[in-house]
Amino acid sequence: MKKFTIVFAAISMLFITNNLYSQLVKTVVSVEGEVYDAITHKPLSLYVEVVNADGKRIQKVQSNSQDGSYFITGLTPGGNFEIRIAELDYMKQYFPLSLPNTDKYMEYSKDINLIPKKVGTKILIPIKLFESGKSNLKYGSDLFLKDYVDLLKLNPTVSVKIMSFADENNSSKNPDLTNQRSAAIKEFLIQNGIEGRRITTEGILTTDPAFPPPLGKASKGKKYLGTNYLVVEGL
Amino acid sequence: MNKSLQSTFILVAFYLISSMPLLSQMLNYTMTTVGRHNDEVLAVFVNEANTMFATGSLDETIKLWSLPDGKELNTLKGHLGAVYNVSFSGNDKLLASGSEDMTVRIWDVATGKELKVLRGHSGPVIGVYFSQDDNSALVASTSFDKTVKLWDVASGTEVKTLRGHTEATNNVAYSYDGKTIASCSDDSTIRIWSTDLHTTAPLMILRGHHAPVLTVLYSFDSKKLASSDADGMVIIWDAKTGEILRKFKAHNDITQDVAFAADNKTLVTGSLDHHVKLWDTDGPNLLMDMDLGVGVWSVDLVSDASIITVACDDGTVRLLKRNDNTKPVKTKKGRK
Repeated sequence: MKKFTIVFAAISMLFITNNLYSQLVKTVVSVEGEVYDAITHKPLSLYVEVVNADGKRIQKVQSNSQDGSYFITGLTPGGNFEIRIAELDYMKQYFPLSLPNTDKYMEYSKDINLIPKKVGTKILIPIKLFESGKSNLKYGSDLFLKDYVDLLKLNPTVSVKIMSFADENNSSKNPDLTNQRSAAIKEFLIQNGIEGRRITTEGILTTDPAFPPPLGKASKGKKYLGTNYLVVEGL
Repeated sequence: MNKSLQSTFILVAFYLISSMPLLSQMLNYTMTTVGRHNDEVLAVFVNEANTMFATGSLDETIKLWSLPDGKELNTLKGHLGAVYNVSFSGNDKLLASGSEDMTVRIWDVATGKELKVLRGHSGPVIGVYFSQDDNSALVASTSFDKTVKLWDVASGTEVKTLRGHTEATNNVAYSYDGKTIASCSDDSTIRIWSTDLHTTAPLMILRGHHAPVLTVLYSFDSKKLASSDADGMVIIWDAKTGEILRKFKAHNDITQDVAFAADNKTLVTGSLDHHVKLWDTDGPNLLMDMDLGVGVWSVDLVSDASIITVACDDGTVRLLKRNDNTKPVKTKKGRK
């Protein structure tokens, strides 16, 4: 019996120390990044939360007021997380964070651009969604447009106007093109679950004064296409 | 002059001429147009084995071409904007591309399938470069958002963001010893960064250009860096100390790209002034100068510099092939 007790105690000690050891050396990873206003590109100081796959908050840190930087540690490798920011002046936005499996400490990076929650905010869609002179969405554009679907789903009271500018100032060749483009974007949003009543459209017959066609070849890239925006109309 | 003196003079002259570098032989390249994109060709990159090259274009596609014959092999579609840069992995199995659509994409070279879309930059991606380790685990990218980002290729995770450039970052390169990364920017500087994932401050800031620096590239022995700028200047740097070793006016217009041959001193440059030039950077001595009649966005070459691949602003993809083998550049495993 005494022998059995010793063996049992030894096994228990081994288990406990092993467990302690694994806890002590448990691999964690960190995420760093900067938080910006998506329109002004100024750094923001606000609370950055990380939630796990069950939606449970596991970290909350404040970003630096000087440069918007944040640092979150203690995250489990191989985990799926979400960075969430709830700030009254900004749209609610969630940013998925999938961390690779690793057996050593690692740091990952994730910059965050937040869209102001303010009537009149013009959110540029920075991707060429259409071919020149065409109004059907290009293959692959859903990857980017789904960001706006998520944005509108997370902010269900927000209504927007989709504004499309022309490829050239003399757009008499196809005056309906910009209307058709804004309608195509609206249709995509509706098909992905956004109520049509929250979306209006406007096609504009001139080029975007904020991003005019280039005058010369100063650097790589010169093909000009009209820009598209989501303009916040209601909160 | 007596006859023997005349003969001596002729012999000495012959000796002097024959002992000089055989420039006429080095100049002997022939240009062929092997194909075209539907718009300007912005990038070209030769693979490790010198059997293939890739081009990226304003037409939003990537094309793969065979070497040495220049046959079009495949067209890779997926980007929603101009493809500004391409880079093969060290084992030639993967290709990375950077685009105006703000993504870095990873492609399977054999099948042409898009494997990963890496999102995280908030501006167009201008430069991409695979790490030079055996499994090409990381890709570096530069963007108009002024940052340099490192991506874990297998997981598609952003592992590091390097900040410090004050203007758009234009291009990026890994050193072949795997220790450092160089990035260049419209802020006229080159920054050298550690590949150690925990160090985020630059190791060195190289100042010497007085215009936006458009490209930067390590030599294969990782001892030198070459860079070019919007004024047509090229600088050769000591990669360890950051000292300027050579600085010369290579072109009269934007010089978007340079590439080292495997001897670590032969450099090809291409410019919007329509010229492709081959340099011995030890001089620097101009070894070849060809007027293509169209602007050149990007150049690369095979290890021994016998073939130069050229991306042109008229949409054509061209090869410059050396017609002789009298003075081949010493071959060594390596790539752009």
